[in-house]
Order: sequence, then C-alpha cells, then structure tokens
Amino acid sequence: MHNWLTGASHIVMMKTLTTLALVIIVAGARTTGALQQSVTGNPSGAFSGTADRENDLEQTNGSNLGSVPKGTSSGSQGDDSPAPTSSVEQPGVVTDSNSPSHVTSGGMTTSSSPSPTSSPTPAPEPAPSPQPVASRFRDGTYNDVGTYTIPTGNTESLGVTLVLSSDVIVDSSVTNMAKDPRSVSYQNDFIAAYKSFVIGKKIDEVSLTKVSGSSLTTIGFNNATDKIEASAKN
Amino acid sequence: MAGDTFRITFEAIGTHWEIDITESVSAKEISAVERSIRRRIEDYDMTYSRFRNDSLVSRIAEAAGAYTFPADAARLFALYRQLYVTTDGAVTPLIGNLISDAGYDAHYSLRPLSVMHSPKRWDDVMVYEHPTLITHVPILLDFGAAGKGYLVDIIGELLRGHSISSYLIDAGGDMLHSGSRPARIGFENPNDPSEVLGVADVQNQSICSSAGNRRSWAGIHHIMNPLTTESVRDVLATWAVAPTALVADGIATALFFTSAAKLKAIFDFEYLIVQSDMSCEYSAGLQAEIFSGTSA
Repeated sequence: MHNWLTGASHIVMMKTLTTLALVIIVAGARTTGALQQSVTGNPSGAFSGTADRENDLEQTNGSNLGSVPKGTSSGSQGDDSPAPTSSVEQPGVVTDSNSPSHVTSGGMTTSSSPSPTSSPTPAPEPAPSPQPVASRFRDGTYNDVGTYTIPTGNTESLGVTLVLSSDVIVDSSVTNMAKDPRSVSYQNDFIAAYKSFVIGKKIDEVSLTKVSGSSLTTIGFNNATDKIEASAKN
Repeated sequence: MAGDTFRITFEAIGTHWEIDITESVSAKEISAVERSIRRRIEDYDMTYSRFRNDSLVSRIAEAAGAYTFPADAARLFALYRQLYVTTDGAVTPLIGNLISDAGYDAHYSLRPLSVMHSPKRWDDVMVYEHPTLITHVPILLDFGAAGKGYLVDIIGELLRGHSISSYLIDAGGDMLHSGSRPARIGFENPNDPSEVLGVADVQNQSICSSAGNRRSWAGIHHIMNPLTTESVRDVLATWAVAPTALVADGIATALFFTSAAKLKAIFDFEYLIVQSDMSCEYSAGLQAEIFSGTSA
C-alpha cells in the first residue's frame, strides 16, 4: 500500500525541489568559477550544472525567493518521502557528488510551521561588500525542470522559471507539470503558496528599539480627514 | 533605554519627531541642541514646504523666474535628478501640481479635480544650477519623496556639530542611527500598526519607510504615478536602508515605481517591499528578520 504524502509534506518537498532547481539554475548561470567553465548558461533552455555551495547562493541571490529558505539545513524525515532529483543534464558537466546538504538525496528541509526564514547566516569566508559592480550572473530568463518520484513509482515534473537582472531575482514562476491528479492538486497548492508572505507579530512580542512606519506622518492630513469626516456626518 | 538616554520630542513638518541621544549630555546642552534643531527645521521648512504661503516653494508656484536656493539644496536636487533619471520620471519634484490637483493641497481640501495632468518634464520647465533655479512657468515643487530624509541627515550633522555622536533620530518613521549600539527597528504592519512584519538591525545608517495607505482619500493615496496620474496599487509598503536618510527616503519612494534591480545599479541600499497581497521581496544584504508564513 502506498502512503500518499500529506499536502503539507508535499509542499515541503516542492520547496526543496524548487530550491534544487534554483541552485542548479543559478549554478549554471555563473559566469566565473573553474568548475563552471563548461556551462554556458543558456538563458532559454533547461540545463544543469554542479550545485554551488550554499553560501555562494546566499551571497549572490539578490532577492528573496520564498522557496529558498536561508540558512536551512536538511533534517531527516523518517517518512517515505521521495528524494527530489533533477532529470536534466548537460553533457560534459561533472556532477559534484559533494553537493550541499539541502539537495542530496534523502535530505529535505523541514518546515512544519511558519518560521522566520530570513536571518542571514554568516558565510564561512568573507562576503564581498555589497556595491554596484558588474553582475556575477548573466541577466536573463532561466528555466529548469525538476522531477521527483511519487509513491506509485511514477515520475512527476515541476517547472521553475527565474528572471535575473543585475543579480536580483526580479520574477519567478512555477509551472504545474504534474500528471497524476493528486500531484496536480499538490503542485497547485504549492504554486499558490510558494511566494513568501509576511505576517505580523504584536509589537509587545518582539524586542524592539523603535518601529518604522507611516502611522505618525502628517498630523495636518489627519486633522483634515477628521474634519471632513465630522462635517460629513449628519 | 539603557544608560543615559535623553529624548527630545516635538512636532515639525507635519510629523512627530523623537530624537534619542544615547550618551551623557548636560541638561543645558540638551536645551541648546533643541533650540538649534527647531531653528534649523524652521529654515528648512521656509524653503521647501508647499504648505505655507511664505515659503520659497510657494513663491515659485506663483510665477516663473530665477530663484536662489540655500546651500543645502545642492545635494537634494542632485539626488532628485538621479532618481528622476533612474525612475524614468516617476520620481520627480514636479509631482506637486498633480498631488495638489488630486486634493492633497496646501489646504488639505482632499477634493480631486476632475481632470489631472501628468507633471511636466524637468528639462521642459526648469534648470537647476546651484544655487539658482530658473523656471519657465509657475510650478509647484514637492520634495516629499526625499525631503524629510534629507532633513534628518541635516539634524544628524547638527548633533555631530554639538559633539553628539550617539543618537537615533526618528522623524515619523524615517530614522538615522549613529553610535556603537545598534538599534532594532520593527517594520510596522501598514494594515495594523500594533504589529510589525519583521525587525531590522540598524547601525550608523538610515532606515526609511514609505506606505500609501496612511494618507488616502477619495480612492487616492499620496504616492502617485505621474505617468498614469493614479495612485500605485500593488506595492503596499517599502523600506530602504542606506548610509544616509536622503538616499533611504528617496529609494523607499522610488521602489513604488521602479525595480530594486534598476535602482541598485546606481544607489547603495538594502530594501524590503511588501505587496498588497502581503507577499514580499527583500535584498540579500538586508540585516533583518522577516516574519513569514507560507500562505496569505
């Protein structure tokens, strides 16, 4: 009997898969690096490359893509979740067997509840100071397809597209390529949810010096709206 | 507030100011500093405010001519020119006529005119060669995009002139920090001011915020796109962190109209953008914790 993944863990797997796809796309897009010389970074085709070190990814990822939790590490899951793998390979590229832990088979990020994903972790080597310099990644639209095996033994696919401009991910989209109706449904859930959404926490739950926002601006404006409201009431 | 902290508070330029001085200063010095600050703000307001009829900006709105600006105008105009070019005219000091026509005028009438015109192009109507501004037609300048930030920088300089180097200036949510102890600044939830969406670590730099929903009327809010003459709808709030409040304030505004990537090619800053659906985007170098969930 096959145990279907729960919706939540399917979403977790989708996140990992997208992380994998992201790493592969970004690795392929590198314009420097000895390991990457044979990868030409084709903006319109699918390709794979060696997975970059996790910290390089953090340094060069110009904007947050909700599906790439920073500083995450793989945990063991105990359930029969399938390992995500990429099915696309480019001839001549050596696959690095020492890929970062979050993309090795059997590894998966755990995220059972919303948690802060963005605390930047320090890189093991000094990060280049942020300044407007030549791009490290070629601008362009990158596509890749990740595949995974579902409990039936069949393979499902998920398409990921990123648009890079000046080393910032300016847009991303995920395409449902599933065949099994349950996978279609889970991929749809993921697509709706993968972009990071902010949530609020009460101010007294958070240790703060001050709050930055617009609530205290324009006393004159607020006086005017108060007056207008007052005169409008009858 | 640990150790010695003195807080100076007052209302000015239509907003609430809190200046925390986090080093030991005598009461006499604090009084002198407070007087200096109020005088300096008054001078600034007399030049740049469109809300008082005795200001330089109000005179410029009445008639074309050659006008002499004070020394501080050089950096302000320079930053506006850079933003104007980088945002393809979306951020412009010439936005005054449009915002005013929309109702956010000097009298806060909040009644929009039925026809609203896009602002004129900078090079069509004025030439700025410090300290002189030559205008070919009457124009209503509005420095809301970066003017408050610039004043915050100026006040910081004033404090340093009084040998005060440990402070946090907060002008209605636009801030400048100086000193050895970083500040933890919350990102106010624009939909609920009792909440924050995350916390930034700010030290010896500025953080400024921009949000459309606090000044809105008749379906319009004050952040207007000059190219469409409508308020920006999809971006809910932005924050920028930069070495100066002039830049942080200007960038926080510009992010409503222009991509971070385009701005990052010219300016040095970190940012957070929250969309109206509460999805967010932020720079890799932003020193902050963002509170996030997986679904709206």
